Amino acid sequence: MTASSLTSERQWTLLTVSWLVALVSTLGALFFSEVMDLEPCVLCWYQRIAMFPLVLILGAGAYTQDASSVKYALPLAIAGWLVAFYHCLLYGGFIPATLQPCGKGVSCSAQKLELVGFITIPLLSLIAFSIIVLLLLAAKKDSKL
Amino acid sequence: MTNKQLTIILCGIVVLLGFAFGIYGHFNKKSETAARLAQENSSVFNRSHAPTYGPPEAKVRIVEFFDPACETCRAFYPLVKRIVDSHQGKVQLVVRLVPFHKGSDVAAKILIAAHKQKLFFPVTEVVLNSQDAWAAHDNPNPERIWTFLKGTSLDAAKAKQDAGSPEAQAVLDQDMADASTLQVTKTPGFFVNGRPLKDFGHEQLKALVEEEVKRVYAE
Repeated sequence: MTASSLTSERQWTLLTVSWLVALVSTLGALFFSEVMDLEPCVLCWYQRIAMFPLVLILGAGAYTQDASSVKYALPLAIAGWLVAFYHCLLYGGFIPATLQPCGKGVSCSAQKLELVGFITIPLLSLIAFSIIVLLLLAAKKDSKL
Repeated sequence: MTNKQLTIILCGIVVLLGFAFGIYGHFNKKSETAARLAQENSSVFNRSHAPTYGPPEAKVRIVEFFDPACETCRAFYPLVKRIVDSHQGKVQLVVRLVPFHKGSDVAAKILIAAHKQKLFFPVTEVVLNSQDAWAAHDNPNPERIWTFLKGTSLDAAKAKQDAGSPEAQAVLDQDMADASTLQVTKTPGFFVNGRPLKDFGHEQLKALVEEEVKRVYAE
């Protein structure tokens, strides 16, 4: 086994699609904060910390067809997914607002934007992280074979 | 370069173009809304309570939504004054107070009280120059302004009374309501003869004023 194994066709496609999801999510997050002036709350920042580097890791991985990039990207994606999941629970009121970690600044449980009635920013984040995790898990399975 | 690398680069370019297009569309829509709101609500530009700088007969009027705790407002203050001065008699500045920052409402009420004594601009200068001392965004201490005002000719006892009066609150409420009508959420917010400054900046403001001066005084 070589240190950096080349991706299979399927792996490369999975990497590229997950990179595109991360890229669109990152630009979307920047659009909300920098263009629409919606200030990110603390939980949003933690999700950003996970999402932004995924663009570079997955991008570099797909560009150089390096299958090992999957194992570096996966922990970030899972960490981001966990925060997004927690954020969605908070938003949906499943966790009492008194438990929210942000004391000052922007509230993490305040509803800021709703598209077609129920799609909120944390939900968009959870969807994006879910897609990336699933694609990366599929790509990881290929490496073992 | 392999086909795969080319695919990645092309995908990246397409997504970035979409992003740029989105930004362009958003700002376009926003400035259209701002212009429409300003046109539909032109009465909000005529408030007799607002302090003015420059001759009342001037046909070009800059309305500035101003926050005494805002650093950019401080930076713009001499620039706006210079724009008014450089167009002898043709431009007037109208100041509307929108204290968006914490504690800034106290400062705004002091300015309203100063305006009652016809000292709005000298007091504003002192308030802006001492901004660092009273307007820390996390821990503002606007009561300190009074100590800085000792060097001015302001009647402090009367000003304190006026600043706490319901009339001062009413002026503030009116200015805030007008800002909200025009969707001004950031300071300084400029309107020249009711036209919003689309692209924020000193040069852009100067250009907009010059354009209006040329248009109005050519007729």
